[in-house]
Amino acid sequence: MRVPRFFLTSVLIVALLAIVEVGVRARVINPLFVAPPSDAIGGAVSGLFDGTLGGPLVVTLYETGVCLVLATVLGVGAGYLLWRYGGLGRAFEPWVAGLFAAPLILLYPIPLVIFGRTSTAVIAQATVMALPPVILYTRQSLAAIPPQFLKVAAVFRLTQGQAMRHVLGPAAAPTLFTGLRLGLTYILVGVISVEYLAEIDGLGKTISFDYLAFDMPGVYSAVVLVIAGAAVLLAAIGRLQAVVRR
Amino acid sequence: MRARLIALIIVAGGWEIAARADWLSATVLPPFSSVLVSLVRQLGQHNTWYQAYVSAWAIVVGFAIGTAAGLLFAATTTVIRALWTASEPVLYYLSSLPKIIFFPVLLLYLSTGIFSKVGMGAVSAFFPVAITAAQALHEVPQVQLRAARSLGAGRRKLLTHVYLPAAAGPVLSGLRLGLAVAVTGVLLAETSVASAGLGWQAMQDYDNLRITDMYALLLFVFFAATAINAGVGRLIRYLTRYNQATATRLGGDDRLQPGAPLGGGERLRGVRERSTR
Repeated sequence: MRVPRFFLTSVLIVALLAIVEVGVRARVINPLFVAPPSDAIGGAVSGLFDGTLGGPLVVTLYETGVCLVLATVLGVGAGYLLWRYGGLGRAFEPWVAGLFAAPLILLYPIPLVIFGRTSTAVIAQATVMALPPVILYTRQSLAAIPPQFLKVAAVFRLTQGQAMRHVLGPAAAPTLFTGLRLGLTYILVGVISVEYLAEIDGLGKTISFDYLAFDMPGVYSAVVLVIAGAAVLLAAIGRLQAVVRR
Repeated sequence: MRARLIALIIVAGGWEIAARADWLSATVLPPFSSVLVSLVRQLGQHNTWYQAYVSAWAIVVGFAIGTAAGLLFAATTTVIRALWTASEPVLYYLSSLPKIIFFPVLLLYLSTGIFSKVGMGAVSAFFPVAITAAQALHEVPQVQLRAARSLGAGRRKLLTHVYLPAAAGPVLSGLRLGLAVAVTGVLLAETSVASAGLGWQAMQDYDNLRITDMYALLLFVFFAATAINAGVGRLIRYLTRYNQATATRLGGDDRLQPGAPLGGGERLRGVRERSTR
């Protein structure tokens, strides 16, 4: 009999959490370093409602949402230009690919210099990190469209806008969404990391402050929320991608 | 190649003009030429190479630990298949997370010295290595395993003559991805809590408003990281040249898609999507 994956995964997670819980309660694991999972999860839930974690979560989600919109608009636009004008693509795509491989997160002091320790700096940094994958996948998705599709659009005398809406968009959507999904992971890294490192409002700052206050249950509660938030966002965009692919 | 050079000249020229024309404050955007002068000066200083050595040490040790743990995990899941079925979704989600959230825990366990940075390198490298290696080992065609067994191959021969050659390409691509994220993890940790290393040096420059020096150092880090990534990519292509020849003959193409600099092959696409810096 084949056991469903969801069941196996749930058993694994519960087993691991139970081992840690027992280990901490029995003081095999130092409780100063590791909070019992029940406390961390309970703290995350109560923090959501009393505002100590709910507020930072809203800020982080807001920044993530703005970044996703900016990365989509700017990245898809730039990717389209690189595809539309071949010379531009040949000139700039290798550099964009180079940026994709470079540790862009280390640039975070630059937005801090420009915008100060504000949400704008977080958004700027995370958007810059998300742009290379969105640009590259957009160009790739458009370049992979079979030439017959473009010929059909020309035969029907579609305008550029109509061709984009009825031919290019639907054909490019699956690969383009892969880029957006990749962009979202980079946005999450950028947002949380800059909040943590520069102590700008959001879940990242909460983790940093709780650590400095040696409030380990607080640290783990915030980490639980980051994990849960990231899982929900990634699952949502994954589902959207699946719908588009269908 | 000429188009790339022209693009570089346009970007560098635009940067220089924007800075010289005071479109942005020199504190925000120093001229490109000043950054290059600072870069050359810093490359001639012993301190820069000492900081690079400290970072490199943490990266190499962290990467080695993360790789060993990742490969061990992959090998275990090959023996216990249910473990892979259960842990794959968890690994994917954990690999998507910003690893910096684990840094406070590492600081508590490994102190504020270099070992917490080694830990960041190990945690960062573990996920891409474990996922790619496990996937590669699980995707070794059963027909190859059955053929080897029918020829009398034991466990050791299966490992050396079937698993290793079949999984080498994806595993090496996972190592490349692991190295890239280990570099980022270590340098990022150094910008947070450290007393040496390139990340620490960049923050020293930032705190003391030596913005030109900071840009130069970041430029150095970028070029070094990109060069290492490209070098490892070439090494992988060389080491897996026979696999690529076979794939091409069979009509498949397991190489990188254009523009996707990390990882390799269709089955790694998911890992590239999820693995973070």
